[in-house]
Amino acid sequence: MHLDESNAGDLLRTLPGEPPLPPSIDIGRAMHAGRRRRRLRRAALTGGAVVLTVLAVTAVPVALRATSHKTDTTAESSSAPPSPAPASAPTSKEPTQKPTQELPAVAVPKSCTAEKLPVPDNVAQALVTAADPTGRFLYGRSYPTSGQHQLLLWTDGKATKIDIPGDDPTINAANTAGYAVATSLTDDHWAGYVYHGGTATKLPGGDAWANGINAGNTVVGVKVDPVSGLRQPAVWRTPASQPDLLALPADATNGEARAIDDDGTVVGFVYDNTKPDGRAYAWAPDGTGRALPSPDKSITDAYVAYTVRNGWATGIVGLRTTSVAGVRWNLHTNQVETIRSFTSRPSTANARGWMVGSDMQGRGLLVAGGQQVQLPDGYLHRPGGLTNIPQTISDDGRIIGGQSDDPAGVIHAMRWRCI
Amino acid sequence: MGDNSADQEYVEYVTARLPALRRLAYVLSGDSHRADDVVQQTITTLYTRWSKIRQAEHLDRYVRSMLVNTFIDERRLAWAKVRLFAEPPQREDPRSGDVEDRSVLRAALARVPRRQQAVLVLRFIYDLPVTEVAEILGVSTGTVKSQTSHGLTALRRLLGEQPLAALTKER
Repeated sequence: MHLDESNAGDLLRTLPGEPPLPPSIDIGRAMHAGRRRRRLRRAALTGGAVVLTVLAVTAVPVALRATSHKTDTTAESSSAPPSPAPASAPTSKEPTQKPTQELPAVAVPKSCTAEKLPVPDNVAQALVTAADPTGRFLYGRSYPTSGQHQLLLWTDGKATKIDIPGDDPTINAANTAGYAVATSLTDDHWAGYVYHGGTATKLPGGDAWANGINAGNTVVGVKVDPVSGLRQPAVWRTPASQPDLLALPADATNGEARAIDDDGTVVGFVYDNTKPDGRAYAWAPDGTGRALPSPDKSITDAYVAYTVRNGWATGIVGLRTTSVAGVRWNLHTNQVETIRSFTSRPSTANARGWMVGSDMQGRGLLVAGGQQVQLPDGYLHRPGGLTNIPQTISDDGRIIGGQSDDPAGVIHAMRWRCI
Repeated sequence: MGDNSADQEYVEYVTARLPALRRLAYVLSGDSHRADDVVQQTITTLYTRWSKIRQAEHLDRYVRSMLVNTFIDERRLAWAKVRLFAEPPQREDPRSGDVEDRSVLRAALARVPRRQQAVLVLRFIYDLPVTEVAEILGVSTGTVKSQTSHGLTALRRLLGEQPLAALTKER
């Protein structure tokens, strides 16, 4: 017998309705927390970005050269050596890695200040989801009412509202020309959009997610079959083009394209859809695909790549285990290293390979060329709490976008500016 | 704040509604702890808005709406923070082992996208008409209808070959 509206009630009403455990709801606590929220809302400042913490935190350069830490695999400060696996593990010798572009030398920042980004309509909660490589354009969301959110663009710190059709739109990536990509849901169909100058244009070719965009406005993402759920990595050469599907290896049924470099290299992952995990994958500009090396020889199918910029890709390893760690690849040398400084996923590495993320203490951290720079808290930090999450870092390392929790647990969109 | 009578009214309202709110949260989430979290969040937000909405015509429906949307939202905000796995929201994680109701039906329902879950619960367990479900979720009636259809399709697929009769007996 076929489940449909005529018998769905009979079936679903068999679910137990009464929670078995006694209630743990505390009305007094709700009132206390509610009062605190009301006070904080009234105290929130509006208008331009407010400098909350002028704490200039001095960078603590921690030498991370792999050579001097050969046997020290337990170093907390993430000496970025490769996995404990011996012999065949590549070493991280950053200075000799050749990036796509030759970049002028820029010093790692010494200190940063945290600023709360302004939010239109005085909405309490907001966060940053993406940025362009210069850090001029920060994209994010605010949450005006339960169940709804408002997309935002901050240009040099000034907020404007963005509208993209569909439910739950999120801006996933952006370029310096002011183009951004987003995905949203309309009546259960996913659609990718390219946003620019107030207009959102739907990507052709059916249900899809739009994950990345490069300087040439080439878009990458996933073509989704709405019936079977099949996911295929896809490239839209221009925002008006039909998608090209990227080739999958023989043992993969599905794949996702997550980001695209300015030279046209695409990264993401491929997997067998009878299993939840995947392996990181890259497609050269001519479409040739290759698996990226795993940082841990014992993990062959639970590591993925999410971002790429100037030949530096980042991702994670150890999906669905308790010891997930960040990963960074150099696509030119094929070297891979595990990043253990962050409890969150590492951000997109900037053109110099620098990354941001949250550390074990709930503080924001910048990991740059062998040094670590602690970011000042937006409000406070709690160990293990992901209280401060930097999400984006500009190519010069000077502008970082992200979020910080306040003492009441409300999330605020933040910008850190570094010198 | 100073307004004692408003506070008193809030406490009375919430105390009276608590069992119903817990049941709704439980049938949505399948887990006592999560249900209580959702209810706690809902009544906290309710308190911050109490002065404005205590006189509202459909207060129960409004509160139910807040609860359902907290349930739907809970994971989105949590996901935005904890990007350890960083999968897009539509690729739902199977629930961890703390779900008390371990029936096949509960497991299947948990893997249906959250908003569709909410629609199925409100329409088929609470027997609410499409228009009311639309108001609660803040979407159009057309969306409710298509979410119903997609939710049932998803559930059908997840339940696979299980004969319905066996499922309705299973408890």
